Amino acid sequence: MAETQEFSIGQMVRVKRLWPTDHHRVPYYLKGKIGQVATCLGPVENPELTAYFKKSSDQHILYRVRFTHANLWGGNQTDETYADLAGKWLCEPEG
Amino acid sequence: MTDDKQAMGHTHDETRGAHDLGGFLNHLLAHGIDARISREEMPKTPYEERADAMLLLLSNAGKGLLNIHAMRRASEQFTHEDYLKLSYYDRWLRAMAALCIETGVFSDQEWQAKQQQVLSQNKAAQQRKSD
Repeated sequence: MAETQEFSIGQMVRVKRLWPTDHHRVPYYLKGKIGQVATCLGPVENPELTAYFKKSSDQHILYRVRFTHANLWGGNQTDETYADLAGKWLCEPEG
Repeated sequence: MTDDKQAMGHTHDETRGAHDLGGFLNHLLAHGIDARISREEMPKTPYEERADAMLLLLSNAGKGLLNIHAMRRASEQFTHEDYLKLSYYDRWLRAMAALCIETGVFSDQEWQAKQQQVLSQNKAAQQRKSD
């Protein structure tokens, strides 16, 4: 089953605070952080399964999320980081 | 450093793999790791090209025996010490070997035997050179 797009462009999202030891494509420094959906990149295969040679019938929807450095690292920095994150790793900011 | 303070504030540091140290400068320094980015051009060595060729042959472009996600996963399973000590292509080679053993391309015994064989060949060649 293909996941349908659940976040819209411009929406604020939080990266889920999950710390699995299995392979996943979310850097530690983004977990729990709030960013803004910049683009929806569409469906991709699930690397969390492919990494273990498991076939993934479900496809992830990948979003490009924008994080300000002030938010990630504090201070008054104006730089931004974009990260491509799967919908399953995102939730509402208050979540 | 505010980034380190932030990272240290988490209670999940123990789940943090050696591949995932972004913004964790104090941790790197505590392990005696120079976290600066080297801007020097590194010399290309033949074994790096061979490692690259081997990965292509084993990957989906070739035999389809492994994929880039599995390669990353295999590298993440190294100990912190190994991960940080090994060079980029050494990590590739070790990950490739681990995945080949896992998927039965060759056995651990065959891998060990081959390494021994190459080591003794090198030793013999070195001996001849110095004679």
